[in-house]
Amino acid sequence: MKCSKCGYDYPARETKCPYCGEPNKLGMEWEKEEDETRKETLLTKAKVLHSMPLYVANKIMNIILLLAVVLLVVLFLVFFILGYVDEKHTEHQKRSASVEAAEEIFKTGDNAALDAYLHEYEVYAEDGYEKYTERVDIYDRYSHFIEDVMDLREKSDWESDKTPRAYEVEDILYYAHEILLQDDYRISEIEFQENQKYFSEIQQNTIATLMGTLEMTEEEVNEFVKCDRYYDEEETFVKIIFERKGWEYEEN
Amino acid sequence: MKKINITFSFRDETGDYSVKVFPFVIKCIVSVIVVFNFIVIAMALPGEISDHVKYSGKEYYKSRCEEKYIDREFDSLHDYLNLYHLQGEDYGIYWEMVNGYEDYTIYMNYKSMEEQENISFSYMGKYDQPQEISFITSQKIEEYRNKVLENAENVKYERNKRYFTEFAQKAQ
Repeated sequence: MKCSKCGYDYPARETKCPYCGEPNKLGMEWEKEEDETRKETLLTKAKVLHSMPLYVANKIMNIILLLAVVLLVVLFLVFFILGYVDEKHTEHQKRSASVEAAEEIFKTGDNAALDAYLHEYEVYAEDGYEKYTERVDIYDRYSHFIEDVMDLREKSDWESDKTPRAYEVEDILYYAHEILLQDDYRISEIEFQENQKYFSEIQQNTIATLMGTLEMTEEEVNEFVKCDRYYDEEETFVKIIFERKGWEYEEN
Repeated sequence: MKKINITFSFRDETGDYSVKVFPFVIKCIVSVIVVFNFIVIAMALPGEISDHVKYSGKEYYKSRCEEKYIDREFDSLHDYLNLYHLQGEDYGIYWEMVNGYEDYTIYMNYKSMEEQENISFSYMGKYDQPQEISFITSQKIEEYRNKVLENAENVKYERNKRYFTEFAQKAQ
């Protein structure tokens, strides 16, 4: 260890500096200690701690931790302010929305525009907009289904060299099952009559996909609506469809 | 039992300085974690900001829609338009196309089952909601055929015309 007075480097167990005679507290403590194990521990710890680099490292770590705390406080403030601004913006948007405007869009039958309106003005699932929220929920579930059906149609129209994959037909059956059995909390109960009419049409279109494009028989459709989609029972129907259509079936 | 003193002191040019072992180790660990996080964030942040600027905004959305339109990925285009709630005149051509293709797809579905005239299903839904689905196939074929023909007749965007004409020819 270095002497604090003259900087001379000498063993820690010495009771004073051999150069200038400055007393060494650690050496004196070591001399007084009777237990051999504890004496070794003292020396080991002295070797670890009694060096300048560690002192500097300690100071640097203090600065790093202080910076981290300051940064966290600043981030917290920024998020708090942004949250406040966002809340005010949402309130403003809600005040700007009107049921009349939503009804106008609803009457056009443009469900995508209605969806965009409810989200832009942050009135999705708000009081007074239940009918429109319900319509948008139905549209959302149907969109997943019809997009997969369109994908299948595209293969038939423009990609005749590509045969559908098993998971693609499985996805169609998955969403078809959801629509036919209203097996999703958003569409499990349809309250408004206009939406009930829309939903009936969607169900008819779903049947048309199963029996038309996928060539399922009436008996198969009756079995299909009884199967449990969470136990992969749809896979049986996928295999039947692939065999009937002459497509190459590959397990997922 | 003799108490072990784990507080050590040493002298430096500023005076006595004591370092406690346990807090020192904890500070060490936390400092390493903090510095590591700073470095990771500093390295990732410019890329994130650049990506955010590059992959958002009207021009980006329009270019993505155009790619999907050219590739005839109308299902994906439909999904993209819905996902980002893209509305307005800038996306009019794409909405016209996907809606037209949807009508055509549904028409083809009904057409494929035209041999089966009266369709009727009756069963219970997942939460015991009674389900009744019935329709006359020829009526549905006619309904959607008219939609396809109407779309071809009233097409607004020139670029969609050739597709809608093709659909109308298949519907006739």
